Order: sequence, then C-alpha cells, then structure tokens
Amino acid sequence: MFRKELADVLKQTACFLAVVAVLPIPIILFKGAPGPYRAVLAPLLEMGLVFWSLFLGASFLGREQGQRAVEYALSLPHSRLGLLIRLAGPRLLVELAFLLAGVIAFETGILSDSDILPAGPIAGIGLQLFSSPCPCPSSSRTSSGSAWSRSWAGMPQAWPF
Amino acid sequence: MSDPILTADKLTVRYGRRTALDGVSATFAAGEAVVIAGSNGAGKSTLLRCLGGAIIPDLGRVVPGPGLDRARIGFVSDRLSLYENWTLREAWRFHRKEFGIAAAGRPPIEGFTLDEGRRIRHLSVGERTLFHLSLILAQRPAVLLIDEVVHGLDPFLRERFLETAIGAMDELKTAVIMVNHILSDTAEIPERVLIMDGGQVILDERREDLMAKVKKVAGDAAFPPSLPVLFETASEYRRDRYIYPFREEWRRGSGAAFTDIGLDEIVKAFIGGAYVQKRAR
Repeated sequence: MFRKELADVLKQTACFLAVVAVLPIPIILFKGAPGPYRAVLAPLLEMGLVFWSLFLGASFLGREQGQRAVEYALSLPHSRLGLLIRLAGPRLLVELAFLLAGVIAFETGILSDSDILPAGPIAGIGLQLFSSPCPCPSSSRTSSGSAWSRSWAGMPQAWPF
Repeated sequence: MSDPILTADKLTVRYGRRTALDGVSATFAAGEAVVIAGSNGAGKSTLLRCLGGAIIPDLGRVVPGPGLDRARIGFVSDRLSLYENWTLREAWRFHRKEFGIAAAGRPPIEGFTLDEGRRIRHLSVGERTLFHLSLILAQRPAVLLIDEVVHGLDPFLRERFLETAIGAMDELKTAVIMVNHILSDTAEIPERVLIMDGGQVILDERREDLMAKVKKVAGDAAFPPSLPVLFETASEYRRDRYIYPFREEWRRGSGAAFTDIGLDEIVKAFIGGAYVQKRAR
C-alpha cells in the first residue's frame, strides 16, 4: 500500500513539475518576459511549492474517496495508525523531498530567489499548508459528526486487533 | 453456544446528534449464522461496520475471540467498496498482499467467471458483489459480514452467492453475520435473529424459538384482550394480528386460530410494531 501510494504521489508530482516547467514558455513568448527562463520559472516554482503542498495534504485519502474505496481501506487488516502511516507517509516523504529540493535550488543559486519570499519561509508555509488538512484523522472521538471522521475517531486507540 | 468469535461490548456510535448505536451488546459464535434485521436507520449497518473495523465506536469495544486476527474478518459492505479504477487483476493482487493470502488464485464461484482485465467500475452490481465475495473468501474468513448486498443480485447470482457463503460456513466454520430484511430466500440460513430498532437490539432469539413464539391470528376471530399483540394490520379486506410472546396453552380455549408464519413475516411484524410504537411516542 505504501509503495502504491508513493508511486501515485510521485506520478502526480512529476505531472505538476512538468506543467510548472512548461508554463514560463508561453509567458516568455506572448507576454514579453521580464528575464530569462529561469527568472520566470523561479516565482512560479515558489508559488507552486506552496500550492502543491496544500494539494498534497488535502488529497490525503483522495484516491480512496474518489474511487469509493474508503470503507475497503478501513477494513484492511491494519490499525488506524498503520493505515495513516501507509497513506500519509508517502505524501510526507514526497512533500519533504519536494521542499528540500526547492530550498536547495534557491539557496545554491540554481534558481534565484524571487521577490515574493526567500525559499526558507516558503518551505515553512508549504509544510504548514501540507499539514493543515490533516487534523481530521486524529480528531478526538467526540468532536465529529460525520461518518467520515467517525471512521478515524479515536484513532490512537485503534481497533483492538 | 460455542466459543465466541466476536463480541460487541456496549457499542455506542453517534453521528452528530443522532445516536446510531446505543450501547449494543451481542456475542457471535464460531460457525454461527446470524441475520440482523430492522427498519431503515435502525443501526444495522453501523453495527456491521463496527464489527468489520470500518467504524470505531464512541463508546464500547469490539472484542475478538481467541486467535482471531483482523485479516480473517471478511466484510462485504452495501457500498461494495473497492478501488474502482483498478482491474480485477490489480485488485486481487493488492488484496492478496494486504491480507497475506498465499493462494495463487481467487476461489472460484461456480457458474461465475470474469475477465481479469476488466475494471471494477465496469462491473455490474451482481458481478461486483460476487467478485468482492471471492476476494473475501480467499482470506478464509472466520467471520463473514455481509451488508444487504443480496437484493442487488438476480435469482441465479443470488443462489450462487448464498451457496458460496453456506459452503464457507461448512468448510471453514465461518460465522456469517448478515444484514438483511428481505428474508424470503434466506430464511433457512440463520440460526439466530437479531432485530434492531433505534440503535438498540430489541430482539435476540434463536430462529426456532422465535418461530415458536410468534403466531398470527388472521381475520376477526374472537380475541382475548389479554394476549400480547406485537403488531396489527387492518384493511377493508383483511385483518392480521401478530402475537408475541405466544404460549401453546392459548390454543385451547382462546377461540382464536393461531397460525405459524415464516421468518420474513415475523421480521415484518417486529419492524411494523416498532414503527407503531415510534408513532405512539
């Protein structure tokens, strides 16, 4: 499950990076770019880091919801914590690698810092956005009303198996 | 009752302000066939989801019997939840890996074959139900939880499904816990009947005992007012009264003709009785 999730997230990230890499071309061609390709790419990538982080966090269990497989996933023979690690772990790994690569690219000058924010704070914001949609799985057993979070309520206690 | 394989211990589940399960306790034995019936919203599916681990209760717990691990609990939900974009081959590979199944092939269901390259979302409800069942049976389940999926099957597939489930009970001593309220073609399967209403178990009886305790009085025959009427239906043409709990000595001297009824009608009487009580409150 971990590997399948990792493969999915890597595929999505590769698609996203490909789109970000291509975006400067029409900007340069049609808008009269303010500088070379790298200078146009830098702010797009910075914004991309932030939005992609939010997407990665928010799409946790997205495949299960999209394919009506939540109930199946929950009835797999794993504790809630085990399931959370298998599903959220690959996302966290990709998120960290993505942010680290971004910070390195900006700090080493491969890409110059844009005017928006230096890379460090951008990475911090990215991590916060990644984790912000995640509290629902760890919500307390009394806080929720929906069947969805009911599936996760009391997660640390898990099922007795 | 033989050793319990699964015990629901005072399960309470709330969806917001609504209480779906209200302190439900029940014990299920190895190899036992139990049917859970009740009105819509009675808590049947929630109970099954708790037993299958898909829902964690607010209060109470599910206690597994000795040696039962979760990989041997098979759960066929009414949503037939599986990864829809996967092919049957992919789904089978994933399921086998996750449940640690050693067998190379899924257990066949007689009279039912599918192209392994088809995607799950392209299967009909019946095909999907039987495919799901074949995945679950590969786990060699000690407990099989089936939530109202039988009604979506045509008569041929329904028969295959039930025969396969019964075969698993015989071969593996699987406890089958089935949520069902149309019992016309499954009435012979359950050994025990649980009827739920308002998030509680209002009846938990062995099938034979229950059938002995519920009788019908048809028509307007003289009727001693002291007899416990569970439910009554009356129309211009017909009047039926269901008596519970019935005692044999009432056959003599009461003047009424008590008739035996099937499980389907018994369940209907209990559900109808529950609706009448709700309306009266």
